[in-house]
Amino acid sequence: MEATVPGHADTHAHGHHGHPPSGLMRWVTTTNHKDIGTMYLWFSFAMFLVGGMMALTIRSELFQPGLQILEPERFNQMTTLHGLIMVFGAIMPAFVGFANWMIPMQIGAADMAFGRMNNWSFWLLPPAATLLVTSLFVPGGAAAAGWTLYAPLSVQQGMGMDMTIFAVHILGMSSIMGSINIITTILNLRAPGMNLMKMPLFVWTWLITAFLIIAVMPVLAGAVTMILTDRHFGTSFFNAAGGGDPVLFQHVFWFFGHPEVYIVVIPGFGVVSQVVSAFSRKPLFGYASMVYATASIAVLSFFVWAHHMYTVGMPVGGQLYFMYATMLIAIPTGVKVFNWIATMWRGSLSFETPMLFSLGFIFLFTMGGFSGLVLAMAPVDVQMQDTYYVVAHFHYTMVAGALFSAFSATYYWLPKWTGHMYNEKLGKVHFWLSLIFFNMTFFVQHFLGLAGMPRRIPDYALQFTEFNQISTIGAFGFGLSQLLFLYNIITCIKGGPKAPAKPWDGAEGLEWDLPSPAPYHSWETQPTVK
Amino acid sequence: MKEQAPVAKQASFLAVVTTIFWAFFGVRKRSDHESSTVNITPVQVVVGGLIGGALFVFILIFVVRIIIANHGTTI
Repeated sequence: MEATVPGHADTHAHGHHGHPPSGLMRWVTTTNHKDIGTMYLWFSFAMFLVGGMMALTIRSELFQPGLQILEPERFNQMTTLHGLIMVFGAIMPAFVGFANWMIPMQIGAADMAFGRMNNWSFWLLPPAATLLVTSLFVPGGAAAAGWTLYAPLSVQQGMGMDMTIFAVHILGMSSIMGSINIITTILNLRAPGMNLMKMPLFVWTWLITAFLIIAVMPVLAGAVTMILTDRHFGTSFFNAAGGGDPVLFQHVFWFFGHPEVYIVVIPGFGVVSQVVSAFSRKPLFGYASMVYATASIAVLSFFVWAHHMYTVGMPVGGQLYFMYATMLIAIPTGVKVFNWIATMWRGSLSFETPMLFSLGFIFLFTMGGFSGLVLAMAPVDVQMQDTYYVVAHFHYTMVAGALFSAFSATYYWLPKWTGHMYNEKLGKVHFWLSLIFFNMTFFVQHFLGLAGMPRRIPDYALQFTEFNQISTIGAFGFGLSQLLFLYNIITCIKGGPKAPAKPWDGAEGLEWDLPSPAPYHSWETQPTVK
Repeated sequence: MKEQAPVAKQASFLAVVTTIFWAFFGVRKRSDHESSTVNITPVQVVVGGLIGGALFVFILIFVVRIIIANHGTTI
């Protein structure tokens, strides 16, 4: 793709607008997509650390059988908040942060379409996070029904559940507003010549993800609102004593929950597509296929929700339908993996940190996909439901999928954001430690699950001890490795070798036509894409 | 989407169906893609995709019903 850059107006854009308010007010009042993107990314990293501390608390308790450091109720609160914070507080905001930073720069737009709504989308997050975290300290403690908030547990628990419901509402509003902004920006603010099929894959995947968010977030809001009215306003949606049905909650939740899995991972597909192409120095193999496959995965993700609930009681026809549908959806996902490998085939590969994390993503996400296929089979799932096999499976897709692609994106675009190169050696150490400790933590959990260890329990039978100890040591190693990432980012922001406008020689896209660091206002005059 | 305005001719129904089928499979031949992006409008893709999704569900339900009927169980 080739862009005509009109003069150097962008680099001097500061002068035309004066300086933004300084200090705290800059961040409170900003409508600049880069500022808001930065806030999203720091917020998500902070939440990643909070959720990570909860994970380490869980793993500490599970280091040996018996109860050591947590009461069972507290343990359940930890697993619940860990899940909610990681999904809604860490991963989703991280990708919205990347979207804010990169989509306007990649499509040649001056900013996001709705600057003030963008600011509001972000500033809704801290109150929601505060509600979640402080719910630990109210009478009865935090929600302890699991991140899925299953009824009837969620109908029965204390005020921590109300705080969680409110937090989920706020987070959902934030996501919906962010999505409206992203869709409008992509559809209306593209530079002349940047037609839809010329857009970078990251932009495409976000466009599709944003539609998914708008489609399913209201479903989650509806589900938790029904819990709220069951709790306080005398309804009986999920209360069997009043004629309701707790299984209804599971259907409504997973109608949101399965597309949510794709919401979390599809922007990661976009990142990996761009990074693999850049470091293979080849155009992406099957660009159109990737776009079509992503769109079809998004559509098909609405038709497979009940594979999460084979064991709650379902007619055999229902089990067969959801089993077939789930297995078929693996085809377009498999094609993506094929495309990434074909992109690398006979490419001129180099293995800088972004590429390493993308390769780690492909390797581990494929494993997560395979264990997903295992779980898709109803007769097998009946054995595996609610065991550590499931925990291993979804951490392979969420951590190795979403988180590794987020790391890849951060290292890939960090020079563009900061104007400095990060420490490559440290980045590689971060990758290898993350890869090793990740597998140490989660690979053994497959065996724990196969051997019958249930999830969401603070205590377990003696024969599970060794694998749990390995997993706990791995978890601490993984957690501590992330401090290297933090250190690398902070040193990169503070200084380091100056980054050229395009630090990766194989990278494609408009963002690399801007200087590094990208000016505060970029593409005020739109480029023309040829 | 102005850049798609100068469309020579609208894609045929069959072309849309073929595109959607390959999209569900996840593979697309380059020459087919190049001809289809010229002719197929985003509205056709979205409507076709939704109909394709519905068909996907109905075909699977049909298959499941046949399997269950052959095994003497009710759905």
